[in-house]
Amino acid sequence: MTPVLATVGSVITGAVLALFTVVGGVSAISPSPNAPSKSEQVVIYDAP
Amino acid sequence: MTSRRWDPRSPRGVVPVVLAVLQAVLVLGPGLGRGVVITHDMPWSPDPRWTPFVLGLDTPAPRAVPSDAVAVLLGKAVGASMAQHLVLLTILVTLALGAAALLAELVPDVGMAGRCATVVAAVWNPFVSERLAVGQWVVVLGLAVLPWALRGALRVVRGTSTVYAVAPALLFAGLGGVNALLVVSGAVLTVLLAGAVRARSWPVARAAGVSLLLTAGLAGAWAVPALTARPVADALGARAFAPVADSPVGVIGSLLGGGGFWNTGTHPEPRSHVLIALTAALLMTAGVALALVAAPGRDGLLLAAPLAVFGVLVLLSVSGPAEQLWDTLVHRVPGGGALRDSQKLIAPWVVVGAAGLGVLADRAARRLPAGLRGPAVALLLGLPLVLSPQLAWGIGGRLDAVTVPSDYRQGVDELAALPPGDVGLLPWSQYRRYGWNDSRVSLTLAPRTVDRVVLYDDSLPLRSGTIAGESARAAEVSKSIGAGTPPDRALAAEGVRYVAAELGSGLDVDTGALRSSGRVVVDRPSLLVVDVGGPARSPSASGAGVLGWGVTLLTALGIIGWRGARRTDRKLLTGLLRSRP
Repeated sequence: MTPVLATVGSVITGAVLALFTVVGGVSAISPSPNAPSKSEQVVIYDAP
Repeated sequence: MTSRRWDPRSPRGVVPVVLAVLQAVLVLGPGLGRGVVITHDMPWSPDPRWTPFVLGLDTPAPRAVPSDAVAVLLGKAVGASMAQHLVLLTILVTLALGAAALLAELVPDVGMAGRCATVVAAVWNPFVSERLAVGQWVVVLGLAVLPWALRGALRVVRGTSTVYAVAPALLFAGLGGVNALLVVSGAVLTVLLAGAVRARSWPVARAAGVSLLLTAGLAGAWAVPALTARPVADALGARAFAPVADSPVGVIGSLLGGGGFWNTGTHPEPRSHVLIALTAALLMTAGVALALVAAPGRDGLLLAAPLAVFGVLVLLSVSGPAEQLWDTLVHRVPGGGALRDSQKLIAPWVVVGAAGLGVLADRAARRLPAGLRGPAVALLLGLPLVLSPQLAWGIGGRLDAVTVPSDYRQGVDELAALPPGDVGLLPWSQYRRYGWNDSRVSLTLAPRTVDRVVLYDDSLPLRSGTIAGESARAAEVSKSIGAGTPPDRALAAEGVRYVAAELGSGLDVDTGALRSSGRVVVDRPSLLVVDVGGPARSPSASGAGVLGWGVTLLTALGIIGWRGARRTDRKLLTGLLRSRP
């Protein structure tokens, strides 16, 4: 029973972590954090 | 009960420390490289100098005091780059170990799984990410000191320690200035007052009084000048700095997950996914609930006190019907302006939530069937990381050490050697996108590098509008420029002797007009300075500034001396770290 539980638990854990990792990781490496606008004449403090 | 002293020989003592150090390195990543990190509110000077700005002498309400002075002091000892690395690393390690120490205070026999889960959750959260992304290391310092302060306050209420249990935490928070001290002192006072009322204990009430006195003393360097000058804060600030939703789960949902910072430019991209934001909110809420329930005796109620008080304040700041009340609190009550950026008040929620996640991991490791323990603990350890993946390796390029151009630094040295006189700074804005800093938004370096009074535009340009600054001189210059006066003439009319233009800062400067406005005294690719013939003034300290600094230094020395007198065998700096994490 224990090995079965361990297997099931590990698979579920891995799947959950993988899901979050893919969703979050792809977002995290998306470009353009704090990118300057070519046309701006004022540096906006809360610019994306 | 097991020993509370940290045992460096036991894996339970060593592993969390190693984990805390490794994750701090992983988060800071490229920020630990050669040079200094310059981003938003962290324009770390490569050349530590006691400038009037650093000492808070040239502004009505000093905001970078005494934190910048501490950075300069450390920088003079080990160099600016190393000082910044040490400060940032120490803050993240102290935060992680502090949350683990709070957990151990609540659950003395907590195992390694719980400690490690708390170490991870304390750092990998939106609060740390959003504040670090905007360079507000002093707010993260407050967060880092907070769990130690809460632990000390609980001990005072239990009667196992004197008020000195919270004094070092107040001292370290005091180094961070207004925001760090507000969060830590506010939490300590609410716990102590709740404890005094609950137990009808005079010693605890006295401890609350002493804590309040220490707080007032440590605040002197910035509070005395600010209360004396009574600067008028822009009424738009209360709204502009209120928490906002950084995710699809709304403002409250964002705050419950540890996010909700007003600056939308810092919002982590992963939190735009409802799955991630909702999971973060549920996890942190469950963590807080578990920590409060797991606390022995009535410690849960004591810990709930700062959560409740700070929670009410945060709700006031985001509640439409309470807008008038919040505005009155922020703008009419002396010192109320410190509450303006109210999202910082969720700091106790974040550290208690991190401790609670440790409780959850500990229970999973003890109570689940053997086969499920490993996966469950792995899940709880890994979830905070995958919910805030942007923190890894410098928050998507936000934290990256750069080398300030040598010609800029040489130009500043040349300026320092010139006869006395105030410096007017162009471009007429305090924010820059230095080309050599990968065009990141940052405050100008000049007030922290130029050892003179620097007159600059202290207004805050936001996408929602501009928040007025507090300098009357800067306001006059802005008014003149708005009326069509050339910037160099507007500055000269306010009595500056030199006009300095930072070049390559992402904003245009009419260098031709500037050169023709006087005698060029510094001519470098990154810095142009012209003597426009103003008065030869030297910076002078106001009486309020000197008094404030005196009070703060005496209070700090008093705490250190108190410590020395009580425990001569232990040094102050190692006192916190030697407590069992």
